[in-house]
Amino acid sequence: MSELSSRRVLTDASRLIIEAAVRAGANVFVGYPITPANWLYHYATQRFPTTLPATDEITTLQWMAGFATAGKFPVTATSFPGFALMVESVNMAYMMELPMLIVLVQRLGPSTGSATTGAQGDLLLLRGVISGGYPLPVFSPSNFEDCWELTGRAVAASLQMRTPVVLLTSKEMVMTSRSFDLSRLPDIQQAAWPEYRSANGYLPYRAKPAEPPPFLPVGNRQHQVRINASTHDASGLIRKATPEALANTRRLQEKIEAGMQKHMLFDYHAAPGSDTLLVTYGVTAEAARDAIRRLREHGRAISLLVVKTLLPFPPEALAILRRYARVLIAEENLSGLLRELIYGQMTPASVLGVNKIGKLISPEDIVAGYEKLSSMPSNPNSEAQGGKRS
Amino acid sequence: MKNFVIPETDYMVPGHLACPGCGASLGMRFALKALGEKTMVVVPACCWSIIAGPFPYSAVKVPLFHTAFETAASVASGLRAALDMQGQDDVTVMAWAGDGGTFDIGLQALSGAAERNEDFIYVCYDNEAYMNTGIQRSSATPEGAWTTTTPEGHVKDRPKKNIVDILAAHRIPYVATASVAYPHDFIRKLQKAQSMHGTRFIHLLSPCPPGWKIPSDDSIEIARLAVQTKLFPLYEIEDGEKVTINLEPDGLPVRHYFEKQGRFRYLTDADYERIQRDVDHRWEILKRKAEWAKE
Repeated sequence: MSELSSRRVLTDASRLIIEAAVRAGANVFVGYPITPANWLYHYATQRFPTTLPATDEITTLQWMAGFATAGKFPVTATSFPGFALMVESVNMAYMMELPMLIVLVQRLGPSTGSATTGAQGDLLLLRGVISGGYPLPVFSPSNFEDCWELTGRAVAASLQMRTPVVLLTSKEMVMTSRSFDLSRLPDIQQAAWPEYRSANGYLPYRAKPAEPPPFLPVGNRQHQVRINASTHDASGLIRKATPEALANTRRLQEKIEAGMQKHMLFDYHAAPGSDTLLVTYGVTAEAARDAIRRLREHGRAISLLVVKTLLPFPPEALAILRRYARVLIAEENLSGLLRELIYGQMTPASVLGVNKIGKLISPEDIVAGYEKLSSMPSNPNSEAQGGKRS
Repeated sequence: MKNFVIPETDYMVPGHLACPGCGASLGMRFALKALGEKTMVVVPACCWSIIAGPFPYSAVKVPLFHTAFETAASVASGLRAALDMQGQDDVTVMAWAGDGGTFDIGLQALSGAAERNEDFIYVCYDNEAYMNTGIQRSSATPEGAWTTTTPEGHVKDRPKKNIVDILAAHRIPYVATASVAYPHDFIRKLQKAQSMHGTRFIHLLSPCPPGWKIPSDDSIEIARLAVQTKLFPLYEIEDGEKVTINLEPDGLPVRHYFEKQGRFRYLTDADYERIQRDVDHRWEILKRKAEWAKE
C-alpha cells in the first residue's frame, strides 16, 4: 500500500460506530449518560444532525419511537442498567415495527456491577427480551472494521425489516484507542426506508407475508397512520386474539427470520486436518485470533469461527459446529451464554468453555483451554468422526 | 447565627475518591456533622457512589446503601418504613443524590415520595451536570454552560430547572437551598430538617472543578459568588408557602461568577446582560414571596 492510499489515524471504535451510523442514514441520536457508552453520546453531539439529551433511558427509547414514527432513524448507546429500563419500550418498538439502533456496550454485572470493566454478559438477555421469545436482531462486531461495517448493516437491516436492532459490543471494544488505517474501510451506502408508494388507501400494518408493512411517516398528507403496541390488525386497531391480529403478530417473527437470511454473518477459518473448532464473538475474537496464530506456530491446527450475527443465530454456523469433534467456546462471562444459546442445557462432553469475568480473556487462557480440551474425549457423533467432513 | 457551633465530630473520614476541591465531598462532611451518628445514607449512581470508597477506602462511618440511579427516594422510603416497624425512630434517613439522579432520572421517585410525605431528608448535591460519567448536560445545567454534550456552538440554551419550586409545590414541610460556602447555614438547615417529620429537601450547590473548569482551590469562592450574585439565593420554604430568605446578598454582577469558570467561556456581553435581567427578576419574585409570608 502506498503512502497516499493509507489514512492512518489514532481513533476508537465509538467514533467509527457514530460515523458509520450517520453515513448509513441515521439522523437522530438520543443520549443518556452511562459508562462505558459515553464516548458514543459525546461524538454524536459532534456528528449527528440532531442529538438530544434524554432525562432517563425510558425517555430515550420513547423519544426514539416518536422520531421513527415520523420517518427519522434514531440511534442510542447504553449499557445494561440503562438497557434494563428500555426493555418495555424495546418491546413496544418491536410491536409497532419502528426501526432504530441500540448500541449496547456491555460492562461487568450484575446490576451496576463495575462500570469501567468490560464483559459479555447480555447475550441471553437479548435472546429473551421480546416477550414471547420473538427474535430481536443482534450484530456483534469483533474488531474495528466490524464496528464500521456492522453498524452500517445494522441500520440497513433495521430499516429493511422495520425493527429495532442491537449492536452488541463491550467496554474495551469502544473505549480503546489505536492506530488504524481508515482506507481499509469500505464505503457505506445510505439505507432506504421501505416506503409506501401506492395511491390507494393505506393500512399501516398491511404487509405481504414475512415482510414488514410499507412505511408512511405520521404527518404525511395523504393517509392516516395508526401505530399500536397492542395486538392489532392491519389497520392498527386493537384486536384480541382474532385470526387476523394473530397472523400480524406471527408475521413479526416471520419477517425477521426471512429478512435476516441475508445478514447471517460470521468469519470461518478452517484449519486443514483440524478436528477442533474455537468459537467466539465480540471483544474476545481478537484474543482468539492471536491464540490461533500461537497454536499454529506450534504445529497445532485449530479452526476458528467468529460469529457476528448472534441473533438469530446463523444456521450455517451451526452446520460448521457439527463438523467438529471438539468445540472450544470463549466468552467473557461465567456461565457460557453463547454455549447455552447453541447447546441449551445439554452441552456435550466434547464442548468446553473458556470463561472469565473481570478481565479480558487472553490468548493464553484460550491456549490453556485448548490443551485441556485436547485431553478430553471427542464427540463420537460429529461429522469429523464419521468422516463426512468436507 | 450567633454562637452557632459546627459540631466537631466527623463521620466522613480521610480516604475518599473525590477530586480535589470537590464541593460534594465537603457537603457530605458537613451533613454528617449536622445529623450525627444515627444516620443512614442512600446514594444512587452519582459521583458519591465512587467517592464513598472503593476498597480499601471507606469515606463514611455510617451505614450507606448504594442503589440504582432512579431510586434514591424509593429506597429511602423503604428504609424509613422498616425502621418505623422496628421502632427505630431516632434514626435519620438521608438520601444523597446528584442533580442527574434528582432533577432527571430520579424525579419520579422523588415526586412520589414527596407526595406521600415520606419521612426522610433528601439532599441533592447539585454540580450542574453528569460529572461522574464525563460532564454531560442535565436539566440542572445552567443556561450558557459548556458540557461534553453541549459543546462549543451548542452550549445549553435553556434555563436550569427550578427544583426547589417543584418540591415546594408538593407542600412538604421543608425545602431549602444551601451552599458549601456557607457551612453554618447548611448545618443549621440540616438540623432544623432533622427536628421535623415528613419529606425534607435541601438543594446544595456543589462546585465541581473538572466540570466547571475552575482551579480546585476556587471552589468555595465560586460557591460564595453564586450566592452573592443572587444566582443561587439562600432561602427556605416551609409547608410549600412560607418563604424565608436567609442571607441578603451583596448583589454583585453575575459576570463575576461566570468569568471565573471555563464552562461559561462562550457567554457574550449580551448574554451577561440578559441573564442579569433574569436573575434580578427572579430575585424580586423571591423577595415578594418572602414579604408575603411575613404578612
